[in-house]
This record gives sequence, C-alpha cells and structure tokens, in this order.
Amino acid sequence: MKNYLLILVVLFSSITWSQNHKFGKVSKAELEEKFYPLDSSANAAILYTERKTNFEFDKKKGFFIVEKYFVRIKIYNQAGYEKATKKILAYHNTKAKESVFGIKATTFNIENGKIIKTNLQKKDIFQEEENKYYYSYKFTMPYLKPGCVVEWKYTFSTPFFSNLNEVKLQEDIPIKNLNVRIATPEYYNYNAITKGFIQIPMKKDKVNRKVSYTDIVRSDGLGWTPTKSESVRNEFSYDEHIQTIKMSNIPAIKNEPFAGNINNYKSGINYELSYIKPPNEPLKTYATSWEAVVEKIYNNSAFGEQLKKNNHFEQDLQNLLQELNNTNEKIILIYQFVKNKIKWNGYDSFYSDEGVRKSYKEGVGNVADINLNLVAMLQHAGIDANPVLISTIDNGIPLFPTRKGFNYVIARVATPNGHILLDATDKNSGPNILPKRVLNFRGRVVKNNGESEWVELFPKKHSINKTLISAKFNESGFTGTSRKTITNNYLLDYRNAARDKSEESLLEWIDEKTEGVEVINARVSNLDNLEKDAIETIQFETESFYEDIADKTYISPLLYTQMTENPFKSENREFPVFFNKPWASATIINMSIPDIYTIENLPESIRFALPNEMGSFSYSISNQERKIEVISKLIINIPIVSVGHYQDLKEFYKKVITKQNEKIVLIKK
Amino acid sequence: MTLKFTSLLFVLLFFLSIKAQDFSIISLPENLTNNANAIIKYDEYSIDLISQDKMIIRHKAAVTIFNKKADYLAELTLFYDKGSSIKKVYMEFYDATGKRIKKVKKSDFDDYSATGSSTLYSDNRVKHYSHTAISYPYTVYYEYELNWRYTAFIPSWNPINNYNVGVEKSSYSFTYPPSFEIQKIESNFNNYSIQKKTSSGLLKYSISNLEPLKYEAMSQGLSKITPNVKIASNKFHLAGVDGVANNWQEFGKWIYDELLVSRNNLTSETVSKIKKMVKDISDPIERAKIIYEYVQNKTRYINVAVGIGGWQPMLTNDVDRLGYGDCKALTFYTKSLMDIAEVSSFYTVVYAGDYKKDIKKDVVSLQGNHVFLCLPREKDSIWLECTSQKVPFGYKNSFTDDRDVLLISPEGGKIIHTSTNKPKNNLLETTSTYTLKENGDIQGMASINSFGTQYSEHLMKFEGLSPDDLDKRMKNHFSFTNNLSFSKIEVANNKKEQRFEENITFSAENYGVINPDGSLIFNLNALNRISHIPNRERNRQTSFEISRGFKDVDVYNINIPEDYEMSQLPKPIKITSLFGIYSLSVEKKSDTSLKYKRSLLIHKGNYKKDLYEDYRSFRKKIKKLENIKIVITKI
Repeated sequence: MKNYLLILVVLFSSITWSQNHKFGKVSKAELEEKFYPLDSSANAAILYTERKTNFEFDKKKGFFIVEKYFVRIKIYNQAGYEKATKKILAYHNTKAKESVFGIKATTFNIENGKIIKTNLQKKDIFQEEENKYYYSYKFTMPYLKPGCVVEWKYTFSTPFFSNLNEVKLQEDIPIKNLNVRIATPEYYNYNAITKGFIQIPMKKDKVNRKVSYTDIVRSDGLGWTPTKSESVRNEFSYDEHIQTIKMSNIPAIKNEPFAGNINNYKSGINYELSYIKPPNEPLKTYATSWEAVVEKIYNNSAFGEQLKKNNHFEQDLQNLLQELNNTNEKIILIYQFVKNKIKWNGYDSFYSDEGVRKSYKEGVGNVADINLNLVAMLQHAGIDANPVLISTIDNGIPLFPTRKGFNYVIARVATPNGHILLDATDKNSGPNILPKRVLNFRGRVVKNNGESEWVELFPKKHSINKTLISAKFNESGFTGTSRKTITNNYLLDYRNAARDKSEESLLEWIDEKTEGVEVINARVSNLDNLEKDAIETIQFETESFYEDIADKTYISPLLYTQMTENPFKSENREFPVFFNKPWASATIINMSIPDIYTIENLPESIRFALPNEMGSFSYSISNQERKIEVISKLIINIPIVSVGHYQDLKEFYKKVITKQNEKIVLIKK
Repeated sequence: MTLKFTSLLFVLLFFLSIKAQDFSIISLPENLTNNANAIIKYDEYSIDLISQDKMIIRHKAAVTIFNKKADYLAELTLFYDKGSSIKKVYMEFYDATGKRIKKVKKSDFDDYSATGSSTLYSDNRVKHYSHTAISYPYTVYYEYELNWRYTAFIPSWNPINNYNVGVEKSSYSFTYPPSFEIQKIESNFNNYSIQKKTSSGLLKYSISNLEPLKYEAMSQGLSKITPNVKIASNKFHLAGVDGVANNWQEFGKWIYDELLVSRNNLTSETVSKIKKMVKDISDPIERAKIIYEYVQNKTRYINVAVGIGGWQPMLTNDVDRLGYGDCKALTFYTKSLMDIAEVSSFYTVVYAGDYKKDIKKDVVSLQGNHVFLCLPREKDSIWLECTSQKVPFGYKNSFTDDRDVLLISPEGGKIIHTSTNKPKNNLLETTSTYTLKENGDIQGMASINSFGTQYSEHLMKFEGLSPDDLDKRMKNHFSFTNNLSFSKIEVANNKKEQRFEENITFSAENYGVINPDGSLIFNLNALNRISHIPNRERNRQTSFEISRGFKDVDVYNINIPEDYEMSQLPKPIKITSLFGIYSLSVEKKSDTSLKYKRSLLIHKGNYKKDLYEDYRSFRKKIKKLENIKIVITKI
C-alpha cells in the first residue's frame, strides 16, 4: 500500500511540474478542475506558491531584505472564497520602515471555453493603519466564481534583519506545488529551524556575488589645484548561501478537539538571526543558543535589574513576614500578597514594562511586572526563587533559540521537597497550579548569574472531579444530593468561572451545567479559600434517567454524570491529543430502591486500560439490601497522548461510553 | 444671547457640582446594589442640534463597578470619521474610598481602524480605552464631546441599557433651532416616573432610582420593556447633502434622489447583456428570478465603507466589475438590473436580525442596519436578500421577517410590514427506516426535509461544505447518538421548492444497550430528539416570547432482529397545551417491525410571566417522551 502511494505521489509530481508557473499563465486544465484530486474535501487549494528572498545592497542604506511572493490559488466552491482575500502586514518604527510594493493580482475564469482575466485595480487595494507599529495592505479578488483561479504577487522589503519571515510549508488548504528560495549573504547568519510532520527536502548552495556601485569623492583643492568631484567605482564580492525547497502535494492541516495550538504542527521553517559579521568589522552575535538567548534577556535592564530592586517593597515585606520562620508559609504569604497587590493588565511579556517599582506602586502591570516582583520579594525573604521564561500556548512551542520563543515569565521556588511553580497573574491559580495559557511543555529557569536550564511545566498531580451522589429512586424519578470535589487545574477553571458570581447567578450557572436535573438548592464551599479544594453541593430532583417499559424499569446508573458524547470523532488524526495535565473523573453513587421493586439485573463490573498505563477506566457496581453502589473512575495519567495512540484513545472512550450507558433493570413486584 | 449665557452658567454650575461629588461607595443606595454588577451614578446626555449640519453631543457619566462582569462599562469606545470628530474626551478612575487613582487624557487612548472582521476596509476609526481593575469596587467618570456633521440620526435615550446595572440618575437634554420641526417617540413610559420638560427648542427627560433588571430567558429584550426616547429633526444632513423631510414619503424621496440615483452607472454593454437574458420572457416574476439567480452567481458579500460610501451604495458598475459589495451595493445593483429587465422593485431599509425590530414609524429619520429588495405585489410581496448566494428566490428569511421596513422608490418612502411563515410551515420532516441488530448496532437511512426557518438553519449548517466538514457537522448534529458513521451523506438546496434536503445512510455501534439478561433496550427516536428546556427562573419578572413557532414531524420504520419479542409498546400520547401540541404513537407492524410517529407543533406567542413554569413543564414532558425506549427479548 505504501509503495503504491509513493508511486502515485511521484506520478503526480511529474505531471504537476509540467505546468506553467509564470504569473498570468493559468491553464485551462487548472480552471476546469472540479475538485482537488488528492483531497476532494478541499474548498480551495494552493496550486503554486513561490517565495524568493534576497539581500540587496544600496550604497546609502547598505543591505536590506527583499522578498518576492507569488501565489496561485484554485477556488473550488463558495466556501473557498475566503481564500481570495489577502492582508499584508508591514512594520515601522521611528527609525525605519518595511514596505510593500508591486502588488499585482488577477482572477481567471473560464466562460464558454474562453479564459477570462479580471485584473485587480489599484483603487481596489486599501492601505490601513493597524496600530502604532503596523500598517497593512488589503484586497479581495474581483469576479469570483466557483472554479476560478486567483493569483497575486508582491514584493516586501524590510531593513530589519531579524524579521526574515517564516517559510510556511503547510496551510489549512492543500498546496500542490511550492518553490522557495532563500539567499543570504555570508555577513548575515540565520538559524533555520523546521517544524511539523512533513519531511522537508532542502537543497543548499553557495555562489559568489559581486556588488558594484559608484561613489562621488570630493578632493579638496591643495595649493593651486582646484576643488573637484570625481566618481569612484567601488566593488566587493561575497558568498551567498542559498536554500531551495521544492515540494509537491502537501496535505492540508485540519483542526481537532484537544489540539492545543495547531500552528505548532503546521510545517514550516523559522529563521532566527544568529549573527552579523560585516567585512572588516567585529562579529555581532544575536542569538546562538538558549543559554545565550537567556543571558541576553537577563542582561536587559527590563529583566535582570528588576530582580535587584527591593526598596519599594522592603517595608511591606517586613510587615508581612514579621517573625515567621516556616519557609513554606512565607512562600504562600508572599505569593498571595503579590496576587492581591498587582493586577494583570492582560499583556504578556518577559520584560517589565514600566519597571517593577512603578507597577508595584500603581497596582497594575504586565506579566513580568507581576512575576518579577514576586521573584524579587521571595529572594529578598531569603527564599531560593528564580524566574522561568515561558512560551504560552498561543505563542507556540519554542523550537530553537530565539527571544521570540518566549513571551511570558513565571516564578520557581526550590524547596527540599521539590520545585514549586508560581504565577501571580491569575488570582485563582496556586502553587504548581498554573493558568492554562502557561501549560506548554517546558520553560527555562534563569539563575541569579544568568545561567539557565529547562524545567517541565505540565502539572504532576492529577486534576480531579469527584462526585459523590446519594439518590433515592421512587416511581416518578430521583431525589438526591451530590457533593462534588474539584481539585488542582480543574479547580482553577472552576474558580475562574464561579467566583465573583452573585449567589443567584451562581445557582443559575450550576443549574445550567447540571443537565437533566432540577437543582433545588446548591452551595459551593471553599470557593474563596484557596488553601482548600472547593466542594459543590447540590440538592436535586429529576424525572429523567429511568424508563418504564412494560413491567420493567431501566435506570441509567450514573445519572447526570454519565459521559454521553465521544469528543474524538475523526477517523484519523495527525497530531497529538493535548490534555495539558493528568486528570481523573470519578463518580460514586449510592442509590436506594424502594421495596416495590425487585432488582433483576445489574451491569457487570469491569476495568480496562490504555496501553502503557496512559489511562484506565474502572466500573464497579454492587447491591446490598436495595442499596446500589456504583463507582465509575476514568483516569488519564499523561498530559499528552501521542498520535500513535489516537486509535487506542478513541476506542477507549467508546468503551467507556458504552459501559456507562448500561442499565440497571428493576421489576415491579 | 441670554439663552446662551444661561446655558453657560448652567454648564458651569453643573461642572462645579461634579467636582464636589462623592465617588466613595458609602453613598450608594442599597436598593440599587442588590444583584447589581454596577451602578450608574449618573448618566447625562446633552445633544445640541446647532444647525442642519452641526450637532454637538456631550456625554458625562459616573459608574461604580462592583465586579469584572461590569468592567465593560468602564471602557470607552468612540467612533469618528471625516464627518464626525471627537472634540474632547477625558476619564478618571476612583477607588472605593473615593480617592482618585488615575486620569486618562485623549492622548492616552488607543487609536485604530474600525474595520471589523466582516469588513475589508473602512475609513471609520476608533478611539478606545480600557482600564485594568486593581480592586473592586471602583468608579469611572468620563466625559466626551463629539461634533457631528450628520444629523439624520440623533442618539436616542435608553436609560436602562444593561442587565444587572442599577441607575441612580439618567438624564437627556436636546436643544434645537425652534424653526426646526422635531418628531419624537416615547416608549414604555408607563410604570416609570419620568421627569419631562419641553419648551421651544428644548426637550429634557430625567429618571432616577432604577433597580437593576435581570436577564430572563425568552424575554423580549430591554428596548421593548424599558423606557426610551427617539428623536428626529425634519431638517438634516448626511453624506454632504442637506435634506428636509416631514414624513416618510419625503424622506424616502430624499434618499432616492441624493444617495441612490446617481450611483447607477452600468455600461450599455451590461444593459444589453441583461436585456438579452430576459428577452423572450413575458412574466415579470420569471424575469426577476433570472436576474436574482444571475446576481447570486456573480456576487458575494464584502463590506467596503469608503468616504460617503458608508451611506451610499458602491457604483453599480464597480459591483459589476468586482463581483462584490456590501448589502447596499448588492441590493442597489440588483435593483438596477431589475429596472433593465422592467421588473418593479424597491430598495428597502430594515433592522435585520433574528430579533424582530421595527423601523419606528413615528420618527422620520435614518434607521435600520441593513437593506434588501422588495418586489411589490398586491398581496404577499416578494422579498429578496441580495447578500446571500444560497437562499431561494422569495424566501421569507427570519433575518427580515415580520417587521416594519422602509420602502424607497422614486416617488418617496413608505413603511410596510414584511410577511412571515406560519409555525406549521417552519417544518422539519424526518422519515427513516432503520434496523437494530442483535449486538445493539443500528443501521439505516433517513431523509430529512426542512422548510421555512428550519430551512435556513439547515442551509447554514450543511450547505457548501466539503465532504469531511459535512461528515463532522452531521456527527455533531446527531450528537446524542454516539459512534455514528455515515456511508452516504447527500444534501441539496432545493431552491425551487424552498426546501433543504438531506439524505443519509448511517450506522451506529452499540446504539441499543444489552442488558445483563441478554435483552436489548433502545431509544425509539434515533434521529431527532427535542430536548431543550429553557432555563429555570426562580422569580420571573418579565413576560416571555416564542418569536417563531415550528413543527417537527418524524416517522420511523424500525426493524428488529428475528426471534425477539417486543415489550409492551407505549400507548399513543397527545399533549395539547397553550404552547403547542405533541403527539406520539408506536404501532407494531409485524413481529419484527414497528412504526414510530411523533410530531411537535410550537405556537408563536407572547405569554405572561406566570405561564413560564407551565411552558417549562410542557418542554420537560416532551424531553421525557423523546427518550421513550422499548426492550426486546430473545424468545
């Protein structure tokens, strides 16, 4: 089968490469194609995409990056129209500016066997200020019809060498042919790091290039020679490193439940400026290793220096700790103090914005303002605390040494009993219970001398929802009480949803999420007491979860805690299942049955597991004098389930749902 | 002169009174804080219509915010463009003790383009400021002044604009040149004590001490139950043009003459192309169908708002050339083509959305948020939505049905009411034959036809998807049936019959549950379980509304394996209530087959709050019956 596929792919590539990939040369065959041959589900496909990056030299400005883009997209149906709108972002600051020019675009249709071209006109391209630093060009293609092909090309140029754009090798629609050429002069060294599951065939080359330019040189009059200007021809040569990538038939990447950040799995190449070495000048390093990246961050005044400031909290810290000796208590006190003292303004950063002092005084700050204050206070109290640089889920997985690979900072405390991770931006988070945005594989802990090492971020402890229900069945339904204990990261989510609600709206919220029962009364204890697990107590009644059929009655044993829907619906999956924490969900039900019934049958007890003890499910049921006890426990022991185990996981869920759906059978006497 | 002086004095006095105001939370009245996320301490709108093309809007407000759910009230978002400028804007923040913690100047505001996700480009811009709450409660005070060159719509007074927010005081004052005619409409003033003052060139309203209102499921919406005032002037200005209109006829004529007629510049080439398309067709309706289909195939919705284009349609030739436009552009383009085809049609302004909102008849002003096209007929005019490529000709869209709209013709404007479907025509018909196997799996096929509002729901869900996405959507649609897989899914948008058609062949593993004794229990309704129950309201205050009724009819032929015995089948059930009719019957056809029939009709209506629990219990009974099961036992 695999070989057969390979042959198919090879065949396809040889056919497709015979197409004309010049701008404006769209073929009838391309226009007449009704669906994408390798993926009939595609609403649109990129028939060809080209990216050519060069460094050009200007005698005044020196080198700058010039990128030429060209794309040809086939649109199969109306749902694909959204691919015909383009936005190009460009950055500027007070010193320099990126520019976009030479936008040309055409829509191709076929009418009565004739190719009709509709060009995008200049006046239909809009320029817009996005914010202080970015402006954009936007356009949408004219005259779209199902089956049409659109093309556009443009040139982007930037004087910012660290802004060499990512090479995107995969999109949410298929790419038929791709051609990328990145040429960099020897003076500019980039780290090219790849991501995704697709093999990238990269060809490397080196050529010698010459640049020549004329300078006007003025020679001053000496004695009786007059002042004159003369043009001088300058020339220099350098090695140019060339990377070329030609690929065909790249499949689309599609979203799935528990995906995390899907951009992590899209194939592509990121470029990080490593060093610049102009001729006759010393080498200037940008980032070459994680150690170097971290050191650079540490040496920035918005990071390392902030950790040394302590005057502003000195007095508060003394008042807070007084004579306290217990280290653990100190940690918690300081942590809670910072949470209350400085509120998060919603901005991520590992650099303090206006300084730890000012944010402390004003009570507002970005992530660094808050967590660097936290680290500084802990250190000042004699506790072994350090900042941890992190990339949030939205920022993706840091694959290679770059400052962009971080966008967030938290704190780590070393204790004899292990490490404690702290993030004071979320008032409901706790020691080792971090907000979801932070739970992204690993972070880098920064020591006091700027040295650094990796640290795992996923929680070790299971997050648990455990529900104890005591229910009474009678002829018209159930009445009962339930007591649900919520722990760790589940508790963080719960508190974020439930705290700050008035009593009335809390009740309504519980009503809504407890489907199938009428909530008579509900109470949540320890909602505000962060040192304890929250407990949600409900008094309920319901006419659901049983069925009278003929002389028998069938009861769904788990009542409203039964899992009814399998989240894993896709037959196959190309990336891991990202639970981001180990977790468990348990229900223990005690159900009393009135003596007008005899209990005819109970489901069987069972236990089954995922391979390698990644997870397990156990279900046990017993009856003692008309009191039925049901225990259902679902446990997942790892934060991430690999692609290879997707089928196991899907099947596991299916078995859980089937088991939980089994009925208790009663007969009326 | 004196008038000017006194108003200046008034402003000064007012200013002083603000400075002396207490922003600490101690001064808050308790009856307003119960269940409140915030209290509006005062909210003062003053609008001065200086001349036909000049209006000054001043707004001052102080709001005490108790929790994060009301943080949005401490955000300020002001739009501006070439015809409207922000003269002044200023904010202050106070802590619970009334101590000022922050001042925000105009230069502290973020400034960005107002282009939203559905807009390609707009030259409207926004100034925006949002505050990070350090602690609760806190108080925001803000004031701003806007200068508008357009006066065709005047901001209205809506003192109760938010749920769970108490209002200590809200006031609204409007001044205008006494030579102008002013129209006003005061809605829902009963049960509220509102101070009102009118004199020549002045209108003032104020209200105080309003307890917070809570959102209740199926409620009619604040604008239909709380007081509000809407004002219009007979002399106005828009898009660089002055206008005078004392009634809708004049207003509509002004729109037609000033904003529409000059926007048609179709080339003679297009004109003859269209003429050729409809050449031999005598029936105007048939000609209209050809034009509508042509537009649907040619265009798509893209919003571009440039210059006065925010008010005017794009040029018809640009739409013709580009194949896109916003609702104004596409409607006016369609209308222009209809003109060529000699089909009479009217550009029509509406408040669009599933929530029905009328153009308010009694104030002649620029209203609405959408335009579409009307083909007038003696009875039952035809309505065309020009921004959709999918809906059929003349489909009664819940987006624009059952409400007052403004028709615009060369002769002038006219308010008329759009038609709507009867509940029984919002129909979902499901017929299926499925077979239960000994291992509990089922397999079968079904055909599902939807009409009326249910047509558009299914159209939005299932039309134009790739096979993969369609498969996923279908699985989610039938999410109560697990382990579902489809070997065939065919969907068709039958525009001619205004019917959406789905044909599926499906199977589901473990659908029936095997009991410990080997018998099988299964839910008869495998495909369409109506299980929604509206939220419980423990102390309902407002009436409730079913804004559109519907009907679901399901007929299933169910086969069971041989050598099994069916349990006693449920008796036929019919529940008739004020809100609708539910009926169910199960009939044994043979030893191995039975017929399940179920129908539900929900009426449209407005009901007193006391009936809400009755409605819930009706829906609860339905939910229970939708889960009716039978058991089959091996003989």
